[in-house]
Amino acid sequence: MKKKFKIVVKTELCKRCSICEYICPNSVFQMKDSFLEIYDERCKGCNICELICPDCAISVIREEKNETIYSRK
Amino acid sequence: MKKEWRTFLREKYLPHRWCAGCGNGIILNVFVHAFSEAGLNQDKTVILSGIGCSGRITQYLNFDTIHTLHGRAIPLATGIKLFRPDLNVIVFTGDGDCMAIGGNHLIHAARRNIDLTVIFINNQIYGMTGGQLSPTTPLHSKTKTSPYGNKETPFNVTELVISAGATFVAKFTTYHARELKRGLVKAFFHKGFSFVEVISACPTRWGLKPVEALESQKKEKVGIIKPSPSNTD
Amino acid sequence: MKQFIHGNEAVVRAALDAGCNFFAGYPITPSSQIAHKMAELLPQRGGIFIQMEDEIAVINTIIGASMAGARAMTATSGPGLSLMQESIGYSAITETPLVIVDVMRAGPATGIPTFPSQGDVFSACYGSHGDYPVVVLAPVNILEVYSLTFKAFYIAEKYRVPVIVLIDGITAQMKESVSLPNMNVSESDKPKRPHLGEGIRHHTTGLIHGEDGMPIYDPQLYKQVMQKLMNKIQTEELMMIQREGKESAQIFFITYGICYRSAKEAVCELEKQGISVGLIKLSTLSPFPDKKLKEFVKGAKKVIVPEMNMGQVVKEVERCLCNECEIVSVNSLGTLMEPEVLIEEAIK
Repeated sequence: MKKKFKIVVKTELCKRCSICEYICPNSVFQMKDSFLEIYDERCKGCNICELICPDCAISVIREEKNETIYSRK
Repeated sequence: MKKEWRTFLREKYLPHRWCAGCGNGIILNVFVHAFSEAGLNQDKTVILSGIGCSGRITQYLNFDTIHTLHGRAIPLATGIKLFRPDLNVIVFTGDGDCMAIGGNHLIHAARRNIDLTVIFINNQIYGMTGGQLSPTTPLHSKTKTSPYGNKETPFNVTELVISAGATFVAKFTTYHARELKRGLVKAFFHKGFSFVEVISACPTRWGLKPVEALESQKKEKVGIIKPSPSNTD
Repeated sequence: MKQFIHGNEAVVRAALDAGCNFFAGYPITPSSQIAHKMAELLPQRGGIFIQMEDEIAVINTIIGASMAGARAMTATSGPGLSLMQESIGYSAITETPLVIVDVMRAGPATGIPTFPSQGDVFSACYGSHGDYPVVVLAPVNILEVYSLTFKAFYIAEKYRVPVIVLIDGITAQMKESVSLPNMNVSESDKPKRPHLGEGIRHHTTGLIHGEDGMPIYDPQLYKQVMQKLMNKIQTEELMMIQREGKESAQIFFITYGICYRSAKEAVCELEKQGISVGLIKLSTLSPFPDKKLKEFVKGAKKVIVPEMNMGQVVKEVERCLCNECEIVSVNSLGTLMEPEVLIEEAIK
């Protein structure tokens, strides 16, 4: 299935609070012991992770237009 | 053309100094998204903060920023707005800064209906100084200065600010990030004193995991209290 | 052309002539008339007046306005100055120009609101915590109230410091016939400084900071910052001090504010008796003009420091002269310093 959204995480900013894992309605994130696993094929583009990440580490990019959700408006 | 949200951050100073899962981080993020959506002029905006963990937010914001004395961001903002009414003036403040030492300035600014946007980051504790009680700490809570349980009733903040004369009052939590973003945009455009209370989280001082702290906010009633919903367009 | 002017009114005239366009105040005896006059005249000239809820709000409001580019001032008295101290330190560390007129009344605490004094010298020079640059000026009569208040704005903007003008309650509340000097500064001489709303996007903080505005945590850097800040005001231009009378006099009066006038009267009387006494007028109390003072009173056997307090500037004089001669403190509380008292002291 073609991926509609790409999740870009600035890992150098991530403090592993796991709020992304908790808040995502589609289980895109899984906080493992040594890294953050991302299943962006599940992403529906709601953008809540980008908005709520306390470290401003996440960007949700719309694949086909290579633009962020935000830039649609 | 609207600017992308990251342009409003001073990225060279990230990662920020706050703990993992800090409510201040969420508010910083939501704020820059809201500012981007609002499309206001970055160079005609001044952002102030007081003292406390919330006070550190200005360091990470790519604007004319001012980190003021404890409790005094609001009068400083008043001076700026009076002299330069063309500037957007936004104040971030915290428990002590807004409701304790800064309380008097808050109620007078509300009474004057000065065109400021005050974002009150309420984490119900004094985080930076080690976890002492604040004027918004719930009754019976155990903190460093209430080891036997807090005997003081906390303020009902939004009621206080409304009766002081504020003309835009809203309450959100860091869990309700989308509603907070929309509320902030409305607050920016409101002409008059706008006050947005954000129930935030201090996982470190509360002794909770970030996710647990956020979960505890789920049931809060949020939204714009004044003007009352039937009056909004 | 001579005009019969009230002391507090001279403050207002000087401020307006210097381009003051922002005043925030809180009423306090004996300076309230300055606020009244500003409330009336500033709006007529497109300036802003606001009465704030307390002195702490006042000082922070004028700091904000100054950061936004205003030529801002306030007027208060001892109790108000005490409340403003933390923010004076903030103005110093953020290098925000500010003018504060302090009309001194008898202290401490509520004191005697309607009694004059010179009791706020230490408060003005050293009132805030930590080390910080502050310029403190002391006019001796209504002419100087005008000229030094005018100059205060220029000093504040050029050096980017808080400037406190100390006026005793008598000078503020009396009227004198004066010819106001023409003190206009040409546009090209007016100091220029950056301010908010220009897109600079600078961070300002009360934390000790480096050139990028961000907090610093290195002790060496901290010392460098403090040295630079304190040295800023160690200039000839700021250390205003004058000597009158015989250069090689054996006795000197070291005076400031209204006591200068009492001492001047005493000097005239003593001359008639054939006794030569020198007279020093300190127009600047901070930065204290150590070098010039030492030079002026070199060789003197005795210096007399008349003050309307329990002895404040005399402590600076003692520090400065290191007991090179006899130093006498003469104190008058709540009332004018009598020339007779000074004459008696000089003759002793």
